Amino acid sequence: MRVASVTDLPTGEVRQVALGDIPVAIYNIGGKIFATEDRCPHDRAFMSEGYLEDDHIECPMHQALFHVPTGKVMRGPAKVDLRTFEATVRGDDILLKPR
Amino acid sequence: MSEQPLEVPESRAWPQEGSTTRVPYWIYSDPEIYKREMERIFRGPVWCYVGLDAEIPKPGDYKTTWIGDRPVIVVRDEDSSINVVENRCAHRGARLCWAPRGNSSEFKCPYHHWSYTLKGELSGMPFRRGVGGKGGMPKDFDLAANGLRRLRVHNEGGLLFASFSADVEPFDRYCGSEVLSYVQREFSGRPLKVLGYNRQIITANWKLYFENLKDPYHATLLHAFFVTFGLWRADAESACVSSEDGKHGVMISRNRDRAGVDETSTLSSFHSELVLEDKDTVTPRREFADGKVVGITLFPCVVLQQQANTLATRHLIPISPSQVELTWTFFGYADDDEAMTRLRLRHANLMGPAGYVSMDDSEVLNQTQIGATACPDDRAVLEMGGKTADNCDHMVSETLIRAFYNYYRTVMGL
Amino acid sequence: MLTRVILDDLNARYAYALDSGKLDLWPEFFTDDCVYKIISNENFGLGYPVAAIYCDGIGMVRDRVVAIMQTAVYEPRTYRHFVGTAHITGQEEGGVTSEANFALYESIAEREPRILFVGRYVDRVVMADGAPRLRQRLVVYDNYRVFNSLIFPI
Repeated sequence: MRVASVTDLPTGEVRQVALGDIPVAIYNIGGKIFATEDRCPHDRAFMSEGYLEDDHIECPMHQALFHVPTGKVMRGPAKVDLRTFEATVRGDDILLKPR
Repeated sequence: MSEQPLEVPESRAWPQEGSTTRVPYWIYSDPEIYKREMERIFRGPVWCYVGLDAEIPKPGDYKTTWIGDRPVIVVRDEDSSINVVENRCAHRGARLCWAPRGNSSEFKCPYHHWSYTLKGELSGMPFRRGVGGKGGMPKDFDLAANGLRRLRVHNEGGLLFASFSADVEPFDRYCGSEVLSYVQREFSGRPLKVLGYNRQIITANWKLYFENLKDPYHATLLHAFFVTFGLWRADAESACVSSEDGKHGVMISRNRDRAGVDETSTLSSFHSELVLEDKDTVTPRREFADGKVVGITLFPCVVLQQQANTLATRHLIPISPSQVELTWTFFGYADDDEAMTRLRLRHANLMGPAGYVSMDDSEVLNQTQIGATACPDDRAVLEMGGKTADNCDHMVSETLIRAFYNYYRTVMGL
Repeated sequence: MLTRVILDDLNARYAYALDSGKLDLWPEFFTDDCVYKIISNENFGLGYPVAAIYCDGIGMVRDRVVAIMQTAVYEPRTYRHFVGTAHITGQEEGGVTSEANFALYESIAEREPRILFVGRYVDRVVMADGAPRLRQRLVVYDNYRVFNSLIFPI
C-alpha cells in the first residue's frame, strides 16, 4: 500500500503515515526507508515526534530508545520491541506491506 | 541529620539525672520535640517497620506507607527483591503513588509524568528534548542524580524494615541477640498469610502507645477481659526483657497449668460470675512449643503481637504530637489449617479498635494525652518494680518503660 | 414476604435499640446461625476475613454484649444511627439480600458529635420465629481508619 513519497521524507527524518487505521512511522536512514509502529510500547506516545539519531529513535515522552531497522528496544522504560513493517520504494513511492 | 548541637530550652530539661523514673509531660505535646523525633529517630539510624513481604507477593506489587512523617513506597522488584523509595516526585515534590496498593511496572508521577523504575531511578520525562526544537531540559541535566530517594531494606522472616540512614547497624546487632531470638520465634521464615487490617487514629502521642506495650502492670487491671476469662493470670510465669540499650522491650508470660485460687481472684477487674458462650474465643490452641505469650516492642514504631492465636504487627505512624495512626496487620502462616485460621479470626476479637483487650487502651491513652497536655511541666512517676531499668522475672514492673526512656534521652540529647 | 417496608422497619428498630443503649435487645435481631461483622471496605474489597468485630453465631453476639457491659472501660458516650432506605439486592432461599447506607455519629461526654463511621449494611434477612431477622449483617464501613475506639455494635 502506498503511504508517502520519498521526496517528502528527506534523509535523517521521520514522519507519521496511516496504514489503514494503524499509525506508522516511516524513517529515511542514509537513503534507506524503514517503518515501525508509531506508538511507543511504554506509554503510547508517537515515535514520529521523537528524535532520530543515526539508526536509533528516541521516544519524546520518556526517552525509550529503539533500533529502527529491527525495532529492538535498547533502553527503558519500554520493555517491549517496536513492531516493524516491510517498506519498499518503487520510483518515488514508499510502499508498506500490511501485516 | 543536623550537625548543630541540640539546643534545649531551659524549660525543657529532663527533671532528673541518672536512670529515668520521672518522665516530663512536655515530651507528649511539644512540637519542637516532635520535630526533633522525626529527624533524629525516624530519619535516623533505625530500622522502621514498613510491612510484611506477604503483602506484596508478586513482582510489581507495591504498598504505600509512612516512616515518621515521610511517605514511602514498598515495592517488589522484577527480580523479587524488595525496594523502599520515598513517595515523592523528584521534580516538584508531589506524592507519586496515590493508591494504598497496586501493581505496576514503573512509577509515573500524575502531574508531569516523570517516570521512574521500581528501583526509583528516573527513566525519563516528557519533552526532555523540547518540541520542534524549542524548550526541553538543559543538556547537562543528570537523570541519575534526580531519582527517588532509596532506603536501605531488611527482611527478617517476612517482616520488612527500612532505614533512611546509610549508617544504621545490621539488623541483628540493632536488635541484640536476645530480642532477635524472640523476633525469630514468631518470624522464622515460615511463609506468612495476610488475614486483614484494622486501622485506627488514636488521639495520643505515639510514645504513649509504645509505652503501653511495655507496661505489663496495667494488663490485669485495665483489661478485665484478660483475667476474667483466663487469658492472663497475675501469677503467670513472666519476664520483662529489654535490649541492652533499652530501646526494644519484650514481655513474656506463660500461664502455669494449675487450678486453684491465685492473685487473680483478688483483683477488682476479675468477674468470677461471667461465662462466655463461645469458649473458643478464649481457648487458644498451643502453637509455640514453649507455651509462651510474647509481646515485642521494636524501636521505634512496631509492636509484634502474639496473644492466644492472634498474630499481628502493630505499626505506629505519628501524625502530630497528639495523634498517631495505628495499623494492625493480622496474619497467620501460609500452612495454617482451617481450624487454626478459624481460631485466629475469633481471637482477633481481642484486638483492634473494638478489641476485648485493646479498646480500653485507646480510651486510656486519649485520657493520658488530655491530662499530660494540660500540664506539660509536670511529670509521670515510674517506680513500679524499682528504680532501675534491669530485666526482671515478673510483670509487676515498669522497668521496660524506664529502659526505653533511658535510651530515648540519649538519642534526643535530653 | 420481605418487602422494603419490612426491612426499613427492621433497621429502624435495630437502630433504636442500639441508640437507646438497650444492648441486651441487640441479639434478638439475629438468627441463631447468624454472622455479624464490622469490617472495613478495604478488607471487604480485598476479600480479607479480619473484622473489627466478628460474631459467628448468636453465642458470640451475646458474648459481645457481656464483654462490653461487664469488662470494657470507656468514656460515656451516645451513638446515633442514621440509616438509609433498604435496597433489596436479591432473593434467596427463605429470604432476601439487601443493603442500606448508614452514618453513625458519636457524642462523647464533654465533646461535640462527630461522624464515627459511614458505610453500608450488607444483609441476609429471613423470617424466623415470626419476625424478620438477620442471618447476616456485614457492617462495611468506608472509613480508612477508626477514630480511637469502637465500643458498641453498629
